[in-house]
Amino acid sequence: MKYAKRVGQVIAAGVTLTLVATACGGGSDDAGSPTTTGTAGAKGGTVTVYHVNDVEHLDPQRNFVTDSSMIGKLITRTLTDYRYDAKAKKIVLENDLAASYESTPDFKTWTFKLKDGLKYEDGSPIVAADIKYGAERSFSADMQEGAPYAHEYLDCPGYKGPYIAGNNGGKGCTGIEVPDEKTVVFKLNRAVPTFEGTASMKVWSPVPKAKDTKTAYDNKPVSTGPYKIESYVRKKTLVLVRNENWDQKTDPLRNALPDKFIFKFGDAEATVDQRLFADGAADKSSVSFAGVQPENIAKTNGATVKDRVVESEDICRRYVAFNQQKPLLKNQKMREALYYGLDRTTYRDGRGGERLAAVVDSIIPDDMDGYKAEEHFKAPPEGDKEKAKALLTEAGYKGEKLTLGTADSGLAVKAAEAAQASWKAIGVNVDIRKIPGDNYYSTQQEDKSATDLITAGWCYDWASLATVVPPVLGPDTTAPNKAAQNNYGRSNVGWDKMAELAKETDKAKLTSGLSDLYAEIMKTAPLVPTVQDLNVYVVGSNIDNGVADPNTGGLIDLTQIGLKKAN
Amino acid sequence: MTLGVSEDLPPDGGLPADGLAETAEAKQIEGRSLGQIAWARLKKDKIAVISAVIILLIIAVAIFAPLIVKINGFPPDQFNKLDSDGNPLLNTRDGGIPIGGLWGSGTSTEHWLGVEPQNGRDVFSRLVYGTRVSLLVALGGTLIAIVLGTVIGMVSGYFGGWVDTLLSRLMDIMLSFPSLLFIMALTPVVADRGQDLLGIPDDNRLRLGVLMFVLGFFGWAYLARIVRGQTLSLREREFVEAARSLGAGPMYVIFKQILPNLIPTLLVYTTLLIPGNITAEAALSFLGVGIKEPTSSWGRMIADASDWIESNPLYLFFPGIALFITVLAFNLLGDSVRDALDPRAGRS
Repeated sequence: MKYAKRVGQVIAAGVTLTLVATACGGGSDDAGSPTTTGTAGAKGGTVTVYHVNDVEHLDPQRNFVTDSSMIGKLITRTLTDYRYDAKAKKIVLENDLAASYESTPDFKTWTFKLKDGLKYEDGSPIVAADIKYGAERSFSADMQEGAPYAHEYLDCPGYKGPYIAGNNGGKGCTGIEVPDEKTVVFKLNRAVPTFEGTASMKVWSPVPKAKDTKTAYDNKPVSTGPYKIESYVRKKTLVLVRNENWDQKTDPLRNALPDKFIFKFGDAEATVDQRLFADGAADKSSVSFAGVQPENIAKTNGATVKDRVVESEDICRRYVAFNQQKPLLKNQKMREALYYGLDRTTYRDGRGGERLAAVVDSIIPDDMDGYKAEEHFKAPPEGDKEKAKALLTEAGYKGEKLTLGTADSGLAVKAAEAAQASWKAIGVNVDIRKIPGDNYYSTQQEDKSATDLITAGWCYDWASLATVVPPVLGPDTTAPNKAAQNNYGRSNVGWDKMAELAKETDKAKLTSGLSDLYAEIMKTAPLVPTVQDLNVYVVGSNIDNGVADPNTGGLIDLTQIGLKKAN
Repeated sequence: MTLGVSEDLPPDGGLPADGLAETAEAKQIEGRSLGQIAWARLKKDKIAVISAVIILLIIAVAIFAPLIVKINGFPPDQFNKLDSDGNPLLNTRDGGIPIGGLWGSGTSTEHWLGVEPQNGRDVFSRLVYGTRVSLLVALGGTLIAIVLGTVIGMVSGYFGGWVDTLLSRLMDIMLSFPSLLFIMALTPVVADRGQDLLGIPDDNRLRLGVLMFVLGFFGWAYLARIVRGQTLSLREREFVEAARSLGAGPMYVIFKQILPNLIPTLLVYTTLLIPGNITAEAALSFLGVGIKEPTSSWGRMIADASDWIESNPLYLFFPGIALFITVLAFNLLGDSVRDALDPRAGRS
């Protein structure tokens, strides 16, 4: 959920436009054959995937970053999951392990029924108790990297995970009940009308208690998906082979065409780009998690390359937050001046130009329910210098220096320079502070070390405004009066309305309420939305059905990929 | 080096390095000081003259950078989207590569050396301003190294005993230090913490200061060793003995008697240290610990351009050649100065 912890790695999860399942109707009991999107290629063969670094976690309860999520999709199944239908360009919620689900009218109790014939890689059956156990693991202090929703939503206050205090006297989290082997009931501490989307997070994946090795489970999680781990050398290679106990008939999400995936970690992006452009004998069946860099975009027009290009977008949005703890930025006119002053087209070019970024006017994705075009400021993409200068005079700005914080990586710095130049053009002095990527967000969360202007981004966890507006503009749910994890502007406008809406149980009202609230808050200019990232990939010539999954960081969708000819 | 020299005087075989102080008193004698001889030799050395002219030109560019940039009319930090006819300068569909010009560099009659990809800043203007950073840091760092090295070397050599032992070990430590690694680690920390600890805003003045300081701080030890060695032999010389027997204090002897005799050494070392520091500054900027955006420096230009080498090779070529010429000129001049000051050097 933190945006781009490392370049191009963003957490993803839930999704967009088409929330098919209705509120309490329960999902359809459709566990038919997978709906293939493109032409399904031949079965078999080995696909090589390059990634510039190893992923952090494969343990389902800790897996919450886009790159590991994509690998996780191959080995870990969840209750529900989103599938990207490339033909219809829609993201569809499907039942994964769940055969059906329903909720009480207050959206506080959700019951999931599991499908028949689900097995782990060793052939033992997947039972409801394992889902309970998996969710319980995420309460443990060692497993905080994953999605926070189990311990945020489940009604078992004070519970600290299965490893201490004898797992609450053997009872575990009392907010999860397992009436039989195929049924799991979640009792929530609040109304969550979109819990079926929450259920797509990997934190709800089953873990057999007998096989749990605590933090070491990360290296070899027991597979529930079409592939299992054959070998894993950290920072070097991960080899996945077919899991014979996975049954395609139960899985509407995964095509699982290749027999084997080899992940190679550590090769620099530029090197991998060269290999994929060249399409040498060893790389005809290769793909990369890294998109093409700006300097090589022109090469994708080449005759031998252009048919192997996969372009995608993702659900994340970038913005620059105005830190309202700083006296200068408490001034609404000053914030508005900066809003109008930013030339988002040069910002986009700093992020690689039109094929790698697109200007946005909202932090809500434009294909999401509740998105409304920005109507208050109506700032053109190039900015409005005259208006900005006038506002600056009104604000009484006298040339004070503002600091713009950015992660210390190529494109981020280039974009920051673009912002700096466009603000300089209206007469605002901006200093760039580069902060190492691995502690960028923690630096900006500390009031003491946060900069005046904060570049940030957000990818929603599932398709609901409830995972966009409150996390970016609301209070922190864990500590009162503290800005939320992503509320870098420290805006506190509309918090009371947000608290009211948190109790709303009508989906449509929740959406329209949050949508209106967002528009209302944005009138105070707490941040300026900048761009969304686009990705351009080049794949090997033997790769079939290379499509990217916008819901998982826009990475190449490994669940759909196939080979033209088994190698 | 303001000593005038008359060309018609026959060249002298060269006096030992105790020249300057003594010859000042014996100016009526036929022989010329080492300085005069060296100057005469330098003036005859074509390479030295060309190098010196180039260096003066580069210094002039650095000093008059704002005027020069006024001629082409593009401030170094300005993002340019369109040329004067309203045509786009960059192809934003293809990653922001410049349109037209030689090998995708966007060179034109307006942008003489092209524009930077992705943002359209004028390469010529940035190159001109980059000269300032390179020279300022290199000269500042060299000055600090020379002052530290000379003082510590002279004190160590003159006083001997425990002072010498202490300072010599310090030199050993400094020389065995992995200085580049240390500089890389130190610079961002100092710049980041400067604000919190010292109350200095993290702006380019601080960055320049830090760069000069680290280059100077890690550059003095080698010179100090040479100076110490020379001081050891100089302090036993008769003119030093004489000064001491007349009641001169150590400070007087060090700065009035010994220092003038070290000037040839210092001169050679200075001209050789400057190009080293220019390269070091470029390397630090290349590694991202140089001055801040958007101020241009050759090292950062080279770093940015290296990504684009395939699609836009000229972007890398221009800062590269500027760095190359500057370093070469200083090095060749340094070599010439060393040869000219070397009493044993054969002359043609």
